[in-house]
Amino acid sequence: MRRVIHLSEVLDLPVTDAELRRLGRVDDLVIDSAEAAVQRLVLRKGKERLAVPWAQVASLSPDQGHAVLVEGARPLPLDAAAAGEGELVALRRDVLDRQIIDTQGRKVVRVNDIALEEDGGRLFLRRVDIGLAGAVRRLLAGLVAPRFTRRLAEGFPHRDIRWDYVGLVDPRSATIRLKVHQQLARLHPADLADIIEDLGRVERQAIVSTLDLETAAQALSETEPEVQAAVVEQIEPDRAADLLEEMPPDEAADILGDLTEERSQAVLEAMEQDEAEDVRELLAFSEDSAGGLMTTEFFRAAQAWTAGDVLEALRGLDEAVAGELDEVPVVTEDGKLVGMAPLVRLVRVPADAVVTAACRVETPSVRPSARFKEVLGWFEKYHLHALAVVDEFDELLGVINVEDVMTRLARKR
Amino acid sequence: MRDWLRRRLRLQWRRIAWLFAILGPGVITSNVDNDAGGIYTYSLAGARYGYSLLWMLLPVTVALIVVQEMCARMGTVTGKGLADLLREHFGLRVTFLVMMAVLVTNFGNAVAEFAGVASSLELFGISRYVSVPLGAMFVWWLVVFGSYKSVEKAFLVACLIYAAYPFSGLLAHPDWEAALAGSVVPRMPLDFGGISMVVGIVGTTIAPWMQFYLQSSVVERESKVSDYPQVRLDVILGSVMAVVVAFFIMIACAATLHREGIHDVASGADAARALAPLAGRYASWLFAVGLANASLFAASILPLATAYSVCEGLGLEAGVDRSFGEAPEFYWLYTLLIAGSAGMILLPGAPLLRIILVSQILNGILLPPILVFMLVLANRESLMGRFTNGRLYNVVAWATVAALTVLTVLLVLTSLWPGAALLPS
Repeated sequence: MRRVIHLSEVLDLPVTDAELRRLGRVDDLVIDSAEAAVQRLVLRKGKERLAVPWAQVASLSPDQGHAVLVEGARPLPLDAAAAGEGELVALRRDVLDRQIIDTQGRKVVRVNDIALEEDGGRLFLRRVDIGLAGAVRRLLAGLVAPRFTRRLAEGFPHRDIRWDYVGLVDPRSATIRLKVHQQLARLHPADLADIIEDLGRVERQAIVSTLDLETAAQALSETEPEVQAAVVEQIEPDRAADLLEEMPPDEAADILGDLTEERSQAVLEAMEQDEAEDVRELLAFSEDSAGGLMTTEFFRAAQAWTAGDVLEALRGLDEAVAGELDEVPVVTEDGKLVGMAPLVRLVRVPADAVVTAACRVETPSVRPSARFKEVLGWFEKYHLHALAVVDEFDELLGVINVEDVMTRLARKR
Repeated sequence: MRDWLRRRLRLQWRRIAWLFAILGPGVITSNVDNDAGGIYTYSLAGARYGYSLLWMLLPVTVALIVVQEMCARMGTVTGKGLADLLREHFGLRVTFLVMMAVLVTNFGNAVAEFAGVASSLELFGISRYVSVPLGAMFVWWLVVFGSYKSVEKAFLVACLIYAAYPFSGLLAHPDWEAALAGSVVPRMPLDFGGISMVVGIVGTTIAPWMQFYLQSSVVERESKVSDYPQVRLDVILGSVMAVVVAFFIMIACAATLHREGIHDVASGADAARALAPLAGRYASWLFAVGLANASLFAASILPLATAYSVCEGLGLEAGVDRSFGEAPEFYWLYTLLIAGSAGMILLPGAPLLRIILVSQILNGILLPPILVFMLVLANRESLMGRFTNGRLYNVVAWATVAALTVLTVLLVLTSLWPGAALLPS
């Protein structure tokens, strides 16, 4: 079995040269981001910190109680050794006691200890400890014999995460940043949203800026409204604008409505003209009205189309718009609402039937000023998946999806 | 005319709604501060020293605001609880030690709260074997099954019941002239009992658990950085409310007990009982209702605050917005704290006084280091950015810390001194 060393057991051990003359204490271990192998040992001597390449460390043993360097080893000042620091991770500074993301368990945890595995004379970071066993080791480190600590720690529940599944929240290394990004982008936006909610303010910003715009926007739209506003408020208006453009206009409007007037104007000005126009219109409505609930970015079918035409058009539709679509609004040439065609009925009628044949018999619609209670009433009465919002000339303004209603209901509780 | 009225009402309503929107963690924390121990201390101060210690309340208010504002600011800016910050900046060992001290202290405090529940409701003829288990179950149920918003609302309602004290104070017909004089002319009783009284008032008003609780709930509330002025207003409002309540407790006792030569009360309930023949039944009832409310309120917050900070510090999941399954350690700790401290009251022959005394000494020992940690953190630019303490603010804050340190050292000494000790019950 390979020997496992815990970071808690080696931190602050005395470091000596080959003749066992004391040089200082172990301050940190530094790994490279590609292999996760320990590359150097940082030792502390008074206030000074020096780096030793791992090849010059002859032994590092908790049981003997010291680290010994090879003959002729020459510790360098940290600054001189720090060239290319960007790809390195200092375990105590960057990992221990920090919030990290367990990308497999999909949650935010705090690192209690770090397990290093010896393999062919090299030391690899394999697991980070987040359980009580690690906490016990940390608490007793340096106070009692490592052997005793180890035996005691075995009695406590053991929880750890493989390094491959650890997402550092604020990595200095570009390689790790990329790794974190790839792992996070694979998570469901709702899980990502939970993670974002659990992080501190700075860490939230770091994650949101690590993600690409689309993923960040999806995750953000799943977080609590308070969190959305708190995050967007801290982002540069330009990037905030890019982020909001990725969201459905109704959600973007909700977020902007929670910002200060000044801030939301700055973001709106940074947005693309027509996106900003959509959002501005929605902002005018109260958040609790049909106008505040509806989205203005939706698919609609012309009255003259056949059911087949509609299905064909849907296949070519942009994913972002198609995602929430359950019922297709059918409109006249001048944009007036004719009816709503549920997807199932569209599929079931013959392909050459006119689209109106697939429409619901009852076509409820509301004005933008309608209260949420009224909206909810229609959804419940006719088991709707979508409700049309029209102006006084029956012209279609927007659509409220059942998801929007669910979200609002969940938030009201 | 009707339109005018409607518009006027709507405006008024909006103002009230706005007020309720900002009322939150600060108001709750400060009010919990007037718990069983606090009410007892203020009662005793009024009974023993009449109106002459009222002047203290002003500097105490300033200190309370300064300390709490730092926590609220750190919570808003970093989005992390105080225990989290301790862990990240001072390591696991320091955090663990602080957390264990918080755990022990707050257990003792919770015992004192349930003692308050028991004794105040006994004035209404309700046996402690009924009131304590029911009270414990109620607070447990509230937190385990409520969401943060509903819990906060319940707590805010509890804050309103503190209005019982001003009414009780008014019913006691205080001598306003003497009260005014006592409020503005600082007079320091120089005997041993007097110093321990002063120390007791400060010690009961500014306690370590408050800082942890306040910062965590500010974080859980997800206020934006730009909303910080509102958060600050909430803290200031809360501190002022807490001290106003203290003021009325003191004058109620000064106008009655002190004037009639009753200079000693053994508990908050005792003070309520003594009020009856002097200020009338209603004043006495109001006093007792206030005490029951305060005790129950604090009994739900203290274990909650403890569970929060211990879990935060050790990196375990925490928060009333999580379910039992998501945060088992959090809920178990909370449950055991409540069950344990309520159980103590029902256990015949349990060393209640000693538990409360030890917890109060620990409170005192714990406060200065925590305040120093807070000041270090609040001045760290890498953490707080442009929200670090200003220079004037630091002067006030460090002076507060220095004064509190001296006072708490005195408090600990007086607690250890047999006979002269200031025991809440």
